[in-house]
Amino acid sequence: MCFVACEADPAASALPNASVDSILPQADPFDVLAVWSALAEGRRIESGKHAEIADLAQRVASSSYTVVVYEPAALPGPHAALLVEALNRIVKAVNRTTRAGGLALGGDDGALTVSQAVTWLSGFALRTRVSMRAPLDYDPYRYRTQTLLAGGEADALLWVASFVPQSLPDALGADVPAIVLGHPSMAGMLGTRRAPTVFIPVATPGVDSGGHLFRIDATVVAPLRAARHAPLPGVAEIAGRLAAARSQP
Amino acid sequence: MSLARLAGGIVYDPANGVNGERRDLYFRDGRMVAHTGDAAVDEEYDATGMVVMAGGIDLHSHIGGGKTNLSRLLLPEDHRADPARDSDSSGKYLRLPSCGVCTPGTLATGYRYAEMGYTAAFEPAMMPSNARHTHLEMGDTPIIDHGAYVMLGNDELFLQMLAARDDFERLRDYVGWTINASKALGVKVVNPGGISAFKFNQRSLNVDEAHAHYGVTPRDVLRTLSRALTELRVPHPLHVHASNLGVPGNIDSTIATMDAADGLPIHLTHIQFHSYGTEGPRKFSSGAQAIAEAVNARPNVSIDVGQNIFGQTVTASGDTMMQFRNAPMGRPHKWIVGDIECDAGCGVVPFRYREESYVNALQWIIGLEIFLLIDDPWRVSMTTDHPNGGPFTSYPHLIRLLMDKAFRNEQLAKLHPEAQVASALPELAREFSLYDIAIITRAGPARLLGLADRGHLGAGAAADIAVYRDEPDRERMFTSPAYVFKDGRLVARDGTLVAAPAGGIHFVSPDYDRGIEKTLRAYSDANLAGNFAHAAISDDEICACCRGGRLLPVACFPNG
Repeated sequence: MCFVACEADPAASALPNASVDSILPQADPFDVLAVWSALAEGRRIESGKHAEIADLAQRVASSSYTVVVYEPAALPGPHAALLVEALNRIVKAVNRTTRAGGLALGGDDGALTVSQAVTWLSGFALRTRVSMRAPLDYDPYRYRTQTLLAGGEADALLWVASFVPQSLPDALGADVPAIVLGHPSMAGMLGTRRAPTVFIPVATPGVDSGGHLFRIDATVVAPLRAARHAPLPGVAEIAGRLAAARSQP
Repeated sequence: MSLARLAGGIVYDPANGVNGERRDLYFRDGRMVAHTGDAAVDEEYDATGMVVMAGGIDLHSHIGGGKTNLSRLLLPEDHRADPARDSDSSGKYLRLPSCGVCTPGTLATGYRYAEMGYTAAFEPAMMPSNARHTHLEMGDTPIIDHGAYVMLGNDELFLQMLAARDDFERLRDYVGWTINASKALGVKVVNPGGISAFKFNQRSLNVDEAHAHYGVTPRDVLRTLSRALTELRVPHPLHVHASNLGVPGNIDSTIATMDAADGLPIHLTHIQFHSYGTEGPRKFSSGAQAIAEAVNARPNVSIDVGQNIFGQTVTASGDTMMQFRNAPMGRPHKWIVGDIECDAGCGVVPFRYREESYVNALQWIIGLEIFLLIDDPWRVSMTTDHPNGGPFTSYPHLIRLLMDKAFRNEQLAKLHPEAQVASALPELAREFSLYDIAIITRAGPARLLGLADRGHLGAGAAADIAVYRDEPDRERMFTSPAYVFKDGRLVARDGTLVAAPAGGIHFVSPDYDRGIEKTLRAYSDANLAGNFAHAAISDDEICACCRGGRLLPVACFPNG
């Protein structure tokens, strides 16, 4: 197990049958991946330079299967997507001769599940404008929550945080109304807002209510069962009640 | 409880031998009923002069699961290209926003199948580890009934047991357990052993070639699985995506695949992609004649075609070995290939089939040749392997190609000139009749799947009915049926939805020895991250996944 451009996680050495090392812990990941990309594509570098990365590339090329594990949320911003792209390019290049795969760790608190469900229902990923009168519009830059709030483009915010308490986004203007379907412990977190604010405490999936949740590898769906029965409605129940009320004549 | 009459239609119901006879049909409570002389008719539908068939059944269409959703993620441009449809002004939100051309959202998928007169579609490649996801997507596909074939034969446990020469009965019970646990209607094997072999860096695997790690061959896998399904008395034969997809000269391995079943029932899917010869200056030729002769000579073999249609689409397959190999030919040039631990894999590569391309033109020719050269339409199902050969919305176009020789010639004349010369198509005068079409699009698939009460219009059958205006342009005719009924309820009229009920799920529950669970639990505890206690999907859970859609258990063949 080799940590690249970061310190080795101390927990890793507790794993059975694992040798753990770290290379270039202080290096800029952009620089490291640029060199590794070049090597993976068969480009030559000046001899003696980037020896650690050259060793890494060689180690990967002579292994039968390498998994590149990364945590998108922990990569340095604001252009972490470029690092993810570089990792994918490297993995694809390695696969021309031996086998390798990438494994992204992310999508917690139901984010991955929402992303999957929105994509299969509508055909578009998240950050899609949904309207009954206009075509769906997918635009990940324009419909980023942060951008919409900062630009004062939102008439109101619907904030869903059923898994863990999550404070309202900083970019939310004080005069923008908010409806919060949140973990019960959020009651004390909302403070006093100038704009109308509605808080509805909701059941926590897998604790208070059943359902399904994607595991972070995006393949396996785990069935959730309520472990206790708190008298709180789930988000789905509230949405269902609103839809039913909306469709009444 | 009301009785409905569909009056004056010309009925094509091959399962009951009805070939274009003018008949009134009656249905009540979602079922076809025999004519009762004095019962009062509550609802009357005028089908005078129209063509009446059972609802269409697509036995191989990638409509749900991981690779379908990855296809959507990969191609937002495909969804933007979807023309805007009339928004629903009734305020009842009958048609929720959903879009896409080659991999529509699940909502759009259900709407469009129903608008075309299809009332069921089957996802052919459900990985056991991805079963819940697949069912959740199909459950969000409104109106049509659905079901899935679970993938086996590349999973580590199966290959380990086969390599260890474990008792056949234990492998059979593992197959039975997997069908039950994943709520499947059948079993599919994709590139037998090849998806796993690719994890061990094998780049091709022929039918009698050994897997680098396990030493077993695709033939061993095929023989074991087809025998297991026969002994489990599962109606649908082993559903096989054969070795060497897309490789010139693959006709030999395709025929070897048929023979690996040792005479037991076997279904070769999207056989067009497996019917390539190596003749001619470009070393790529039609193997349709050889494949059709092989199918004609083997009554245990059924096929679906996987016709390709010109235009943009996306290929989504479990065959990582071949998808990786073909990725450089993908357009637009972006793709995803993933190994799924201990289970199988998935590969998504967009393709643009071009008339000017010799290879694409010949693929189109080969598909049509296969339709036209196989004698028994009951063993041929019409598919485009949606979306791999083209989207299912191309079916009306494909029906016209099969029914209208002059139209076929017109299309052929647009193709790469060398492909036209390399083709036997101009000499094939056969035109499918409406009766033939009813076989390859509903009666045949229903029979191959063991759906006793679907695909026909006899008393007791589900009242899934499509009523078409008899127009000389068959493409137009099959695009917008005058009426579509699902379980007796009018769901579409002249191509416009009028209701969107939840579809039901077809599955089989074969008997097997539950003693195998001890092995499966030990394997799961040692190798998998999930808890074995949650491995199987219960009836209650599947019902929730399907949004309350009906459970439609399919009977296994009786013993003895």
